[in-house]
Formats: sequence, C-alpha cells, structure tokens
Amino acid sequence: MAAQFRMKRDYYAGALMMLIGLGAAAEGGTYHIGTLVRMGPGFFPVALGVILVCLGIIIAGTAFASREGGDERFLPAHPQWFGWLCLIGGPILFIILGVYAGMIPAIFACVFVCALGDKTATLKGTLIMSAGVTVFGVILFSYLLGVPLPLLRGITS
Amino acid sequence: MIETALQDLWFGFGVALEPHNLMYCFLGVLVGNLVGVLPGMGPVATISILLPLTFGMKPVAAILMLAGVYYGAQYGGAICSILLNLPTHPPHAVTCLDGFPLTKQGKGGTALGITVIASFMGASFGITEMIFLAPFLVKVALQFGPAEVCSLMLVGLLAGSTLARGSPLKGIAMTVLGLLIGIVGTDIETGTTRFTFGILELDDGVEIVTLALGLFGIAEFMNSMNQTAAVDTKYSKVGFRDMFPSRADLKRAFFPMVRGTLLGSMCALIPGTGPTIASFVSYATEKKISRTPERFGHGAIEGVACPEASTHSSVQGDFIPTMSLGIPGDVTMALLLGALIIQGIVPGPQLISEHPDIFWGLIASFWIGNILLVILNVPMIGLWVKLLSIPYRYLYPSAMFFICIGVYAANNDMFQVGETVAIGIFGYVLLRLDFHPAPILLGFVLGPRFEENFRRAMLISRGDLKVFIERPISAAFLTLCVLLIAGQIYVWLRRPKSVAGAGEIEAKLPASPYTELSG
Amino acid sequence: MLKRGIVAAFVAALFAVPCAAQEYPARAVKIIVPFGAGGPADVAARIIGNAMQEKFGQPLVVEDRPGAGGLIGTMEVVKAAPDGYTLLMMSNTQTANESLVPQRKYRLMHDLVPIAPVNYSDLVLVVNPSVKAKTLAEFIVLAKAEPGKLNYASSGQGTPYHMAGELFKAMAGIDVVHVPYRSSGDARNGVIGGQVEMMIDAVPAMAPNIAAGQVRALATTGKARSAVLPDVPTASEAGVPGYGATIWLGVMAPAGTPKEIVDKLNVAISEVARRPDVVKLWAAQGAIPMSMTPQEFDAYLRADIVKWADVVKRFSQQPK
Repeated sequence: MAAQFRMKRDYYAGALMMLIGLGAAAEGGTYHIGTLVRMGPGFFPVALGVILVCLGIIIAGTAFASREGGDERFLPAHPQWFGWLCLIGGPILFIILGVYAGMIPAIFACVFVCALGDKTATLKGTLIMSAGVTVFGVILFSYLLGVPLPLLRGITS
Repeated sequence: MIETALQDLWFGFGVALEPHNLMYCFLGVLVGNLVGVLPGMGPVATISILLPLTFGMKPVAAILMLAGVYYGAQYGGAICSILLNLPTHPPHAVTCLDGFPLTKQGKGGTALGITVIASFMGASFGITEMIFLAPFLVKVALQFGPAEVCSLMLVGLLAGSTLARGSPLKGIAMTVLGLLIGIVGTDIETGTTRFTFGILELDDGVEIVTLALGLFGIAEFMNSMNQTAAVDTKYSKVGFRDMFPSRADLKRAFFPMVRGTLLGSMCALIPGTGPTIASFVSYATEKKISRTPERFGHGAIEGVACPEASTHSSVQGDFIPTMSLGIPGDVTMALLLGALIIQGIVPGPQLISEHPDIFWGLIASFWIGNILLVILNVPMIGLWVKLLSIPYRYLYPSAMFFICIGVYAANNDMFQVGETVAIGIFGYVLLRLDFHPAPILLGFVLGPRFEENFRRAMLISRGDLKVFIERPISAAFLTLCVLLIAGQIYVWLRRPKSVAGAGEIEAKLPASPYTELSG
Repeated sequence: MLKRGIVAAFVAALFAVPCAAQEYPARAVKIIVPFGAGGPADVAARIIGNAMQEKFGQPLVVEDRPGAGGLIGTMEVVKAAPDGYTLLMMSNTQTANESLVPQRKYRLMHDLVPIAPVNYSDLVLVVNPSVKAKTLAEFIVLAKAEPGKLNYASSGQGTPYHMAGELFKAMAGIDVVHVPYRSSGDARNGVIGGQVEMMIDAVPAMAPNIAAGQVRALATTGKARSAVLPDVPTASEAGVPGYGATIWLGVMAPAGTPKEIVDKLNVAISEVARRPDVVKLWAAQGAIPMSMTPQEFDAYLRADIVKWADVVKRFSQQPK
C-alpha cells in the first residue's frame, strides 16, 4: 500500500510543480518586489511561483484522493535509454562539430547518431541516409540559403 | 473612396504583373513556401539572408520577393505540423493538436486540403481589409494603450486555459510555467536580468522557436522512440479521393474559418499581438463556442481550419501598420523596412502617395502570390503525404537535423541549439507526468506582454488601478474576462447534478476527478 | 636541421606581416553587426560592405549577431583573430555600455582597436500634438511647472534614445518620467497614440510622421540643423545650449590587428563613406558621413565613453 502510494505519477507531477514554483519564488525574491501598483522585477516571478506551488499541492492531492488505475509509473514500460541517449547525442554532436569541425561533419554526425537509436536501423541504411541528408543539407542550407556555418573548418573558411 | 481604391488596385495589378516583378514574387513565395516547411528556419532568417541580394534589384521587385517569403512561409508551416506533429513555426503549434490526430486517422490529406483553403480565405480577407479599412483600423490600433493590451492579454490567458488536453488543473499549471519561462531575460522596465543565472545568451530570453521545437519536436521524438505505434505506414496509402475534403468537412470548417479570419485580422492590428497569439486565441475561441468541444484535440477539422485562417489573415494584416505608419509590428516587418531603407525609400504615412507603385503593387502581389501558393500547394499535398511512407527511422533523424540547423540559422547561435535540447528533455519529463505542452507556449507568449503592459499602465497612471476600468476598450475586455470566469464556474457548479445520485459519484470517478471538468 | 627550420620560419614570419598587409584583403572579410537585422547599423554595414566589395574585389560579408544589448556580437569580435578579417560595426551603444554594463567581459579601448567612424545621425525630440507646447522653450516651461507629470518613451533601458533623454533632462533641468518600451516601434506607437507625451527618436524614423502631423518636432539634437528637417531648430538653439546627442556608427577590430591593416581599412572606409552614391543613401536616412584618422577616432571614443559615464551615474542615482 505504501509502495503503491509512492509510485503514483501525479505525486511526481505535483512535486515537480512545487519545486519549480519554490525555485521561481526564491529567485524572484532576490529581485526588488515592490507593490501591486509599483511592481518591481520580482513581483511577478514570486506571485507565479506561489501559484505554481499551490497548483502542485492540489495536483499531488488529487493523486492522494484517487483510486488506482491506469499507468501510474513515471518511466514508460520499456525505457529507451539508448535511444534517448542517441537522440540527445545527435544535436550535441552537431553543436560540437559545428563549432570546431564544420557543417559537413556536424550534419553527418547528428543524423547518424540520432538514427542509431532506432532498433530497426541497419548500419548500411543509416550510413546511406546520413550521407544523403548531408549532401542535401549542404546544398540547401549552405549554397541555396547561405547559412553562415563553414563547411569544413580549416579548409574552407 | 472605394472607387479610388479600386483604381489604385488596378494600377497595382499592372505593376505586379510586370514580368520582372512577377518573377521575383514567384521566387519569393516559392522560397518562402519551402522554407516554411523546414522546422526552425523561418521567414526572419531567410529574409535576413536574402536582404543583401536585394541591393542590386529594383525596389518594387525586392519588396515583392521578401514579402512573398513571409506569407509563403505560412503555407508551408502547416505541413509538418499536421503530418509529423512537428510545428515548424510557433503559429502552427496549435494546428498539431487536431492535425496530427487527423493524420493518424488517415485523413492527413484532407487536413492539408482544408489548410490551403483556410489559408487562402484568411489571406484574402486580410488583403481586402488592408486595402479598404487600413486608415480606420490604424486609428483604432493607436487607441490601444498599455491598459487595453494588458486586459486583452488577460482574456487570452483565460480563454487559452481551455487549450488543455486532459486535466485542466495541469493545463493551468502549464500556462503558469509558460509565464515563468517568458520571464527569463531582461526586465524591460528596470533593465535587471531575471532567471538568467549569469548566462549572457539568456539575456534576451528564451526564443519561441527554441521552446516550440524543443517541447513539440524533441520531446515527442523521445516519446516515440522505438514505439512502433508512432507513425504507421498505413496512413501513407492515401487514395486520391482522400486528398480532397468532403462536403461535410467543408461545411463544418466554413464558419470556423470565417471566425478565425476575423480574429486574426484584429490581432494583426493590435500592437504586440501577432500570428502566434492569433492562432492560439482563435483555436481556444472555437473550442469554447463549439457544441462538441470534446472533439477538439482528437481530429476536429475546425481545429485545423480556424488557426490556419487566423494565422494567414494576421500575417497579411501585419503589413498595415508597417506600410501606413512606418512602424514595424514585429521583427519580420522591421527587416522589410530595412530593405526599403537600403533602397533609399523611407516608409511612413507618405509611402502611399510618394511610392504608389510599391504600396499598391505590393497589395496586388499579395493576391497573386496567394493564388500562386494555392496552385503550388494543392498538387503537392499528395507528395507530402507520401513523405509519411518513409520509414520513421529515417524520418526522425532528418527532422532532428532540420531542427538543429533551423534553430542555429535563426540567430547564428549554437547556444540555442543546446537550449532546444535541454527544453526537449524537460518537455519529455512533462509528457511522462501527463502534462501537455501547448499551454506553455500560450503562457510564454502572452505572459511577458501582460506583465510589461500592466507595469507600463501603472507607470503612466502613476499607480492608479482605476485606469483599467476607466478606459472603455480595457473595460470591455475585463468584462469579457469576468464573463469567462463566471461561465467556467457556472459549468462547474452544474456538473455534479447531471451525474447520478451523490452516493454513486465516488465509485464512478476515474483516476483524476478533475478530467471531467474541461471547458 | 631544426635550427635552420626555426630561422627560416622566423624570417618568413617577418616578411609575412607586411606582405599580408599588402595583399589584404586576400579573402572574404567578415563584419559583425551586434544589432538586429534591418536596423541602422545593419543597413550601414551592408551599404559599406557593398561599396568595399567593389573596391577590393573581395566580399565583405555582414553577419548579424544581436543579443544582450550588443554585448554578444561585440564579444565575438573581441575573441576573434586580429588578422583584419573580422571587424565590428559599433555605435555609441558600445561606449555607453562601458558604464551601463559593469559586468561585461571586455574593455572597449583595451580589447578592440578603432579603425574608422562611418556616419552619425541626429535625433529629434518630438511631442504628441496634444501637448500644448509649440517650441522647445515652451515645453521646458511646461515640464518645470508640473515636475514628474509628463512621460517620455524610449526603446529600452540603456538604449541611445534613453541616454539622450536622460542627458536632456539633466541639462534642461526638468523632471519627466521615463517609460521604456520593448522596441522603437512600440515606443513610437506610444507617442503617436498619445499615451506618452514625448520621445527622442531617430530622424529618418520620425520624419514621415512629423510630415503627416502625427507628432510635432520641437528640436533636433545635433550641432547643426538636420538636412531632413531644416525647419526644426537644434536643441542648442532652442533653449538648451551645448546639448548634443547623436547616434554614430564606427568600425573596430580586435586588439593586436596590425597597424598597416588598420590604416588601409581606415582609408578605404573613409573613402567609401563619402562616395556620392553612398552619401545620397545616407542623406535619405538623415545620416552624415564622418571621417577621422584612427588616432582621432580613438580620442573621440574615449571622450564619448566619459560623456555617457556621467549620464549613467546621474540617472542610476535617482530613486527607483
């Protein structure tokens, strides 16, 4: 019974809202608050933070009051850690390679790594697709649209 | 007056149909349409990139092309929103809510068809309004001081709480969260930086494109990772017939289109409200006045028609204050003005009299451009739907790349790409906790304006709260707010009586008792 | 072997610098505009860039890097290599930022080297037609009679328009309340719509509205009358002697850029800024070309920093 209580999603939901609300109110409090008619920069953040905390409490409250039912777990039935890692890793590689290596490696790495996350992906298919998107992306964004990102740093500036 | 306007319009058509100008108009709408399909990279980035090219061009052709990019992009924007649940630009985020469910029901083509019709209708009305009503509307717009805008924002926030899919309580929480995210940045009145934690790039706040793509794009991709049910290839087997909306669909979508158009054109005039607010508010309004609000969010065709109509009419209407007062309504308009200035033309009240070819040629080109866009888009519907037959494992990495480069191109800033990723992860957490992201965007867009105008109204009135009631337009909006709240309470009070006896209520309640209390 | 290699490299480097200057520019030059696209700095950079491209045969690419009131773009140039291929289009926003933003991570005169000014534009002080003052003197009298009652708009805290306003208040000895807006467009709406009584704005932006009677111009802020508004007296003539506030634009490069390149650019930019076709474009915007040697520009910048430091000190001491 106690374990079941702890797993309920709405508890986490409420807790998250309370956390954000408290953070907002705390940070907002460091700015000058002022009064309702002469609001300082801190008034709105603190007010919103307080509202969010209250909402969080009510949301957690509904979890308390309700019966069990439905998927109450936070993580999905099959958490896709590797898939998520790839999905996040792709853009991060885009950023790093874009800054240090150039557009071409950035595009290729981003697409390739993102694609790896899918369980049905094949290495060959992924490689071909990444190459294809890279070529298309370079033509579209660099030549046609002139986005200012060097293609290959150190070689073309 | 109408007679001279028609005469001028005829003259404008003559200008716009000159082969040289026509070609650039076509180029503009084509590029705009294509760019509109790409997530992240919007008309602003494209126009900034094309700006240097306009140096060597004649002013009429230049402005026709750049304007074409702007409204052309709106046509492309709905496509990914409907087919992939990926809003390419913020105004189309609302289109996802009903567009994507329609795709899942195999009616993606229909949705796209309705979108094109709605867009054309919205744009046409916006253009007509611009021609005949411009001077009058500008006068009205100038009456909108901070108190009026503030009250309007409040109406928007209240109406928008019905955007919540699922628990209204969580919907309100998301709106508040959006308000908080909107606070990040520099406070306008005092210049202090809020919630930036010393990061310089956050001094200007979170970009809406970053927020939209992170919450709707990356978060959804995380959600659909390796879930085979995500985008089934069966939807791609769309017959020719399915591409055209049925009579029933058209009938159902007609009045929402009209209402959306009217709302959008109003929003265009009010300073500080743009296509994004227009689309959100028109969706919320439709849902509120609909007899069957529960269909919204599950594939109601009205939910696609009205935001698109309002977006387009607001985009065309955006030109009014810019062209007649020389005051740009938003960044895109400022760019267009910049292009004119480079050409040596000074926009302002005398633009119409000093450069009638530019003004009337531009308006005529709107008509021509929109017709061109309809011709471009209708046959392409089948092509876009075919896009769905690409296996998901190829689709989403490419989409991720487009998101990355689109966000980068908007401000030449890699930091924002990182921001998008961070927001995406957070958005996924929210999705898992059964929060839906749409109200965040609403709060994000309306909140800062509400606060800014409230404080400005107080500053000007020297702390006198009565100013909100004393000024008539503001009072009208506040009355609307009161009615909205009263309506909500009324509905809530009526609810339990319609369910069978008090004793049975407890047993019947689903997991969250508040889900009954929508709208 | 190694020693010979080092000597060779050393000798090559010795020759490389002047050679580089002679061949400069050998490839595309980037000029960073730390403000939004379509604004006066952006437009000016593109006009100059276009003209320089014709002169040098190498493209001058304009890159907009707005953000943090000009700080982000400026930082990017500060960090760039001092080889003359990255330049900064700056304005008196940067000189004002020296005092407005103490936490910035660069020092203008230390981390950047001045190349040349480009142009300057006068500002104009306008009031809403409902204000019962037909001249600047009348306005000052009105403001003194009711201190703290009138409002003036600007496009934000710390913008040149705000600073110009504060300087005016200080020199005229009046008390008008500052109402910041999100952008100049919004601010103009405010003054035309009548919510705010006064505004100091760029001449080209306001000229059409003045002509249409939507606002009344009381004075311009330069040393001489503006060519675009010849009937409007300068603030100096009209009641506040010695008042001067303009928006000027200039080009700087990262510190350490070789002197030859700086001089070459200075000559080129000054020449280009005074070309007849360019001057015509400037005139339509109410901008007047400026030309100085790098040393003169250096002195000008330092003086400007001091001027705005004083204004900032004065208004940050005011009770909030």
